[in-house]
Amino acid sequence: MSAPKKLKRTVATGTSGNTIKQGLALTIVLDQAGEGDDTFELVGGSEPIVLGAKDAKELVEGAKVLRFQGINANKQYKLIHHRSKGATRVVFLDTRPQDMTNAGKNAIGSKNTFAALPSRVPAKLPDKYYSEQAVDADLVAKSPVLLDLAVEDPLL
Amino acid sequence: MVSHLTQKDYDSAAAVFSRSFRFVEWKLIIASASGSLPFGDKNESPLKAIKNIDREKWIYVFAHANGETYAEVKEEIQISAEGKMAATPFELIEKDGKRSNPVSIGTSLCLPRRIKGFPQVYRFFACRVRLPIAQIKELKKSIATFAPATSLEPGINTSVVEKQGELLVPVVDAVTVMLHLHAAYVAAASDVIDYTVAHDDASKENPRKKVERRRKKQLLASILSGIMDSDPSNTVVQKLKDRQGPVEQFLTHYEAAVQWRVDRRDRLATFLSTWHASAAMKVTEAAFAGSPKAEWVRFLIPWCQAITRLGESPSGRAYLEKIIDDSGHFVHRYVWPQAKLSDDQVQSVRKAGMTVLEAWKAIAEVKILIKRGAAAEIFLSLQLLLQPLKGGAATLSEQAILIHRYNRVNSAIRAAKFIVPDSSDTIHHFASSPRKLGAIVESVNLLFAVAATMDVMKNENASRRDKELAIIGLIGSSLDAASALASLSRNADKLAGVLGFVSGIVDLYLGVTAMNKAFSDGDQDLANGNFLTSVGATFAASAPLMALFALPGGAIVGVIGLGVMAIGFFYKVFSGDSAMERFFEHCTWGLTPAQAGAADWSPTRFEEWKGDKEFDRQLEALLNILCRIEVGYGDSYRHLRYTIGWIPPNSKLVVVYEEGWVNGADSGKVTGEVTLSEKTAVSNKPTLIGGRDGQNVVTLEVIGTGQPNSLTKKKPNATLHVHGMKLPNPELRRSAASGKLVIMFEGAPEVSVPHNGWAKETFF
Repeated sequence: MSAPKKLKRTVATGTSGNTIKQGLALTIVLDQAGEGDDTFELVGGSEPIVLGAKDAKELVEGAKVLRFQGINANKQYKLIHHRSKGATRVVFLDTRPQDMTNAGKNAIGSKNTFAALPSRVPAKLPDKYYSEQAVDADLVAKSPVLLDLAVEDPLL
Repeated sequence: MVSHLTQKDYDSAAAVFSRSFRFVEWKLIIASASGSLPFGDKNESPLKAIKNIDREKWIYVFAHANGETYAEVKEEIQISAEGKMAATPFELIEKDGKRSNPVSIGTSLCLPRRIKGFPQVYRFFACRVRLPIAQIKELKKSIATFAPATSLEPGINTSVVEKQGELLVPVVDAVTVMLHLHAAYVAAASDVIDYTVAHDDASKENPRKKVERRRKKQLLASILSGIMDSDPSNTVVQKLKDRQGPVEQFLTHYEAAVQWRVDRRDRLATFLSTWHASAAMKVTEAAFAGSPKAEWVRFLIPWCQAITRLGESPSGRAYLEKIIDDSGHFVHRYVWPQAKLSDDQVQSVRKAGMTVLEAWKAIAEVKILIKRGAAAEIFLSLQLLLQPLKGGAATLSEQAILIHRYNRVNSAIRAAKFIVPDSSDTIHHFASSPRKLGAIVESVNLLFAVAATMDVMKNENASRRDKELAIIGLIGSSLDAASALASLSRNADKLAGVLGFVSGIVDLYLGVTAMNKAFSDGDQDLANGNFLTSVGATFAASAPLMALFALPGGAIVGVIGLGVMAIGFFYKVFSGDSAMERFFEHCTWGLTPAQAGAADWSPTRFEEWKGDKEFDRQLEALLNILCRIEVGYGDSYRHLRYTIGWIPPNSKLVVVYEEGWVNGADSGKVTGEVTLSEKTAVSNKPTLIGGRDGQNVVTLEVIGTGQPNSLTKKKPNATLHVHGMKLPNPELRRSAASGKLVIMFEGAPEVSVPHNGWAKETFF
């Protein structure tokens, strides 16, 4: 891993109009520690910068941060994720530092992305006049719980 | 997952990586272009909605920005049954011919959940074979139509699952989802059967005794409701606790409980049919087709399993119809062939074994009943399938059989029948499938019998009576449909499946437009009722299949409805009857249920109207009030007239007529049984000609042939009329008739009316 370079502080405007203070570092946030063996390579400066999980610093509880120091606002960088030797993935292609963040983008809503469907007849049902009434004991019977079914999927 | 990160942290990060996670699979998914969803049961842990990956698979990771649907492929990961993963280098994923072996990456991984500030939406697809490049490209366009959007953001996130601190990210394997949707659908379909039909293979939640009690109670409530509706004086309702409310509520709740189950079954059938038609299945099918030939059966076998029993639901039938119409669909090569099989097809069919035959049956059901396929086509396809399964030996033969002589002169229904002398086992892959080839063949013979009857029903030249007789003929007497069904039940491991199959046929049968048209000259309910009645008449003795026709769609409503109409008619005649008031007072919903007392119309004392036999005893007593028999005659003593208060569906009249003559050699006795439907009376003796005179009168003409076990040819009445009556023949010494009605209700013992012997009348 190369030593961080000394940089001038600059101010740049991102594509979405956000103002970004430049010069100290670009950061990557890792939920928890990330994969232990993984490394992240920032390519675009005079030398690639490679940081691993061991370089991560505590950001807040449950999250760590990798700081890529020595960023030049006039250059473009690409980020590569190395999972193991030979297993790489380009996270983003050459991008100006000021275009790397987009403040205010909300996450997708994921609170209701699972449907829970009723698996038994309600204990009360409407009568002829649409008034909810308890069901006679002779009519009560559980229906199968779909998630409890033993499903055959033979290895063929 | 709890987020402690601030917006500022995100703003300043070029990328945010998720926690490490492990891949698992979703079991159940609703595919929809507007947003696919995994699903499970209410009040159950989402952990039960996922399963571990239990075999080698290829996982494809796609991502797109929020609000978009076109997704780029990001990863191709091979995963082993032990969870070890290897990833194809990114730049090689779409390089045809250069896709090197993937590189090991361990058992967990993390993915960027935000890149340059943009939250990432992931879609995960898993396949049991490596996808060709064309299918990866196809998924870029279509994955959003079936794979749920997955977010790796912290916070409340139901698109992933957390188990004891471990993050689990579910993927979508089309075959896994298909099999789970099918199992869910079958369970729901069986639940409809199990709730409404008392059968020996009942579920734990619906043991036979409990279902029988429920059905008897419903039957009793229906009859009481009919009587109350037709009592303008409101006398009997006063004898019930809280009047008619509890009875009506019970009936309303019964219908709602059944309908809830039917709705669930049909909803799951829609999910399954939609999944079958989804891009997930098309891509998977193409991937297997593009793999080495030996791989194809790994798709074909589960697919065949996952179309079984689809015919029980409207959307399932619609899907099957669609693939039959699609000549390019693989079903025409491997399940419904019409030409000699290629070596590749032979191998696939042989390996698929019983499962492909089960799928063939599902197709045959639609082909015969909806598409009206010719018997030759059906025969050919089965013959072709059996050749590889039976080592090249053709074991099937076909014959046209006489289904039933439905009028006495020259009309008959003919149907094809397949005969499979060798019903030996063939390979099966699913424990729930029937093991015997005979079960498949008998199913198809039943379909032919039903289809042949439908043809008569559609014949505009056939009279309504012919149609009625044809329907009775379908299931009545020595018809093959009955034996087909009996054989089907014997050979099947799961009776609910057999019952479902038959109910699907009936549902379809009663729902066919042409059938409705055929009935347009009469009363639709009545026509249905006739069908159901005759169905019940044959099956009730051997199996509880009558109750099948109590399934929604309809039929118990039809049967009971008929009964109620008849009761209404009856009650107007006998209103003010104190027996009925006493019955209401002591019945389950009465003012004094099971209070000590007795009456000659009840075989048991009122205090015995409780416990296990509560509804048997009440039904028996009520039927003895309702179905009172009066024996009389018309023009001649041999023109018998049995006036019956109410003729329930599924009943028969046992009759005896005897004459004594001066010459003892002329004396004789005739006995017989008359099967009663709403408008017909069919005798089991050629010397007893049945007929109906209105709703409540059964007429029987006794023919004297002079043969042994018959009456003399001499007429019992002279031709001379006095006050409109024919005088007795001077040689006649005695003329008497008796009768009793035998009523069969599902799950209930036979009821005889009168309960203590015979209704008798001496004419002379």
